[in-house]
Amino acid sequence: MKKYFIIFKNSVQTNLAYRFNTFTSFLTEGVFLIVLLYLWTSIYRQGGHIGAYSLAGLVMYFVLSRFVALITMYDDTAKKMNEEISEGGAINYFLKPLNYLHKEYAYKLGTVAYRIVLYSLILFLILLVLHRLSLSGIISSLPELIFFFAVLMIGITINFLIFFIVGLLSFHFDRIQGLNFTIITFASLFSGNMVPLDLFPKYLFWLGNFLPFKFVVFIPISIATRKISLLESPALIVTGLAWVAGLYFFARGMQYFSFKKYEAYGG
Amino acid sequence: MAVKKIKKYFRIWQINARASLMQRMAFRANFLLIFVGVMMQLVISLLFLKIVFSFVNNIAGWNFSQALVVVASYMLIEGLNWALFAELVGIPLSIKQGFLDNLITKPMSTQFLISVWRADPEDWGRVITAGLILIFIIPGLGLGYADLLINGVFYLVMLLCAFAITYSITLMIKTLSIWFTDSSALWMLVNQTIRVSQYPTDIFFHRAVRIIFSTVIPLTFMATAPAKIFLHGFNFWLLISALGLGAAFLFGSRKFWLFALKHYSSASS
Repeated sequence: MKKYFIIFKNSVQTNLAYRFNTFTSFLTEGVFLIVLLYLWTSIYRQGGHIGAYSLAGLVMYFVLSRFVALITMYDDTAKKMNEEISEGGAINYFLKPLNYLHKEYAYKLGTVAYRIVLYSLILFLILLVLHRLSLSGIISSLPELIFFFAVLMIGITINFLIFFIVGLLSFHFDRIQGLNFTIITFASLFSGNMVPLDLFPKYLFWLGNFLPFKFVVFIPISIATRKISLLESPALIVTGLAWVAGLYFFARGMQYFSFKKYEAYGG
Repeated sequence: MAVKKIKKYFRIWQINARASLMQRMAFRANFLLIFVGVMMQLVISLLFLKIVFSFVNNIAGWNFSQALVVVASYMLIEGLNWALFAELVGIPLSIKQGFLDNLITKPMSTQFLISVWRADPEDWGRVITAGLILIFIIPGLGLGYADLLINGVFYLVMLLCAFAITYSITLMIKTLSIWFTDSSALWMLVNQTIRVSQYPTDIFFHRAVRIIFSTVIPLTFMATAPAKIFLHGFNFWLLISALGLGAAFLFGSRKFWLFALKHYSSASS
């Protein structure tokens, strides 16, 4: 366990090293928020109403979706693995007493920990600016917060495992950028990051229900905004864990067969 | 002499574009999947608009068809920027990997060489889709043949200016790599801001914000102003402002590039 903790710590330190990136992240989120406010205010000024969402509700959805997506979604696991594997760096992990999957997960969690701290600060500042919006719909009790973070972790793990599996394909194909890019776009759509899933046309909403991506953004936000109550938590957590277990065993199996197939060449 | 030079530059662009296509086609499945991803991005943009307009009739005075002209204009500019120059990824890459030294010694404009160094052929999909969207919505816009022709000509001029502005902003930001090596975070910020131009800039109902987005970061001229000319016909002030801004940004970015090159110190040994 200690060896994975060192990888976790390394990942946090790597993220901390890029302070300029952190500063521009603040500015980028600021631009995003300004545009969001103008866009939705313009729409609601015409007297329109988007589904069951009030203006405050929709702005809150997109603020939270940004927060959750920045933590759970933006993931370069597959790209990083592809570089490592195609450049022969993966051979190092065959020689070390490390499980490749667990090592990548520890690295991912380091990035997640850094982002949670950083983006919670941004979220707090944004909520201060938006204090006039009704915040009463946001979860505040301890059991609700535990439920939220439990589902958030499930979302992070599901997203990681999907991109880990994509990354493993580097053992079998020279280029995986196309698949990676397509899955990122697909995940973006079906996670509810671009548009709340309950605003989708019926057939897309129905399709989205059969996919694991909703755990990455839409379900954590629905919990944060109390659209999903604590009463529904056991069923949701069981479903989420079933996805995690399925993807985990698939990734382990695929890792086993990929390592068997691996041929390194070089001096 | 000038014609000969243009021919030579065009030929080099052709060779680079062909090389990029061959590189992509060497991994056909990968190329196909990138193309699918690009198409999905476009579908998401359109789906977003469709969902919003299923609840409201207009956004800041723009109905669905008119808003589609803005989105299509944005897709055209974004698509061309990728398909012709791959958003100038050549600049930071050439600095990191040290092959800018090689390009500088060539008897040609380094800015041109670095601009056409990579092209992403799959992004012609964005350009074609944008063209198809325009063709499909034209009948619903109520424009006569004469209007369509005249507006179309001015629309193309506006798009050219928009492209010049987008290219210049991209060039200036990527040029910063000469000093910072990694300007990717700053590029993310600028790219995110440019993406805003896929919405009509009339959503910015405060005058001060509209002025900023018409001058300092001229988002208005990237998609909204061309769409206005296409829909409502010739507008002297819009056209002259677009031409002025396009020329100013091209001139400014060229000067900045040359200034930066003077400060370039090779990364390789």
